[in-house]
Amino acid sequence: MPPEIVPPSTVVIEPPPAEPTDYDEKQENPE
Amino acid sequence: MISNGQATLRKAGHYLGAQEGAKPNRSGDPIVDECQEMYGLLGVPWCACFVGYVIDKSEASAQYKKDAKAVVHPSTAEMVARARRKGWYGPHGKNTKPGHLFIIDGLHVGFVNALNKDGTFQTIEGNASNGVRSLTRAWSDGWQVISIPGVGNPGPAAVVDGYGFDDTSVKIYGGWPTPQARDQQLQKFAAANPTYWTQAVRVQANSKYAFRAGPEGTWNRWTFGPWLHNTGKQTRDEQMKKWSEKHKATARPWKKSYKEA
Repeated sequence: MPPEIVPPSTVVIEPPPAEPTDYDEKQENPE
Repeated sequence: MISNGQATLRKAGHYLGAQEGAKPNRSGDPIVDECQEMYGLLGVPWCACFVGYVIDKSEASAQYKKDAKAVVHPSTAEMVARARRKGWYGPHGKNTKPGHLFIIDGLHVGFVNALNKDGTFQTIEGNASNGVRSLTRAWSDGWQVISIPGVGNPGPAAVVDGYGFDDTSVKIYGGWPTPQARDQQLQKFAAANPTYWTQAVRVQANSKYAFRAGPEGTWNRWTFGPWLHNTGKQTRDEQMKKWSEKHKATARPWKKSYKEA
């Protein structure tokens, strides 16, 4: 098992989200 | 008089720690529904709606709000197209300031809260792990900037304490000096733990390549907060207690300092 880093002592650089977090007009509004 | 950038960041900071409820992209905390309703939407990914709502409800000038309205749209693709036409879209540079928007076309958008010297920046953003959060991001990941004119210079930065907590079942492993070394370990870990999700991340350390992993059901629901100011600690403690009891899980409390702008 690799060593565990315990936040928040280490600041994580967040990668861009894998999926859009915004509204796509081409998709139908689910509501 | 504070700058337009600072006025929007102050408003955005007010919502830090807000969370979605049980249904995806729905309240939870009122801001999740409210920002979407401003655009006649409900239950859709809301990062761009958060940006538009915050600027509109902030104490920024009428002109700044008008300009923001001309580019902000629930779809980041449309936002990029509009900002391009205005000449307000491009890579970050020496003129990038707190209050500007960071964006990847078709993915995500939020506010630049502070610029670091190592090629990273602090954010305030909506719909990040189902909430409003302040994160560290790297320009090298492809983030571009939308600079609405008149953002202004931030005033003396107020530093405030923020309190949050993490689900201890989600852990970060690392670091390794190269992405290849990290990826090799990540694959090994994933093979040995098939029910766990994994995510490659970097950390601000010499060996910066790491990964995050957690059991099923914790993806996007493992970190909470920050809640700011004097009431932040109390809110965190209450939320943490509620969460621990509901999930019968152990939380790790944390405290960080946040620059207001």
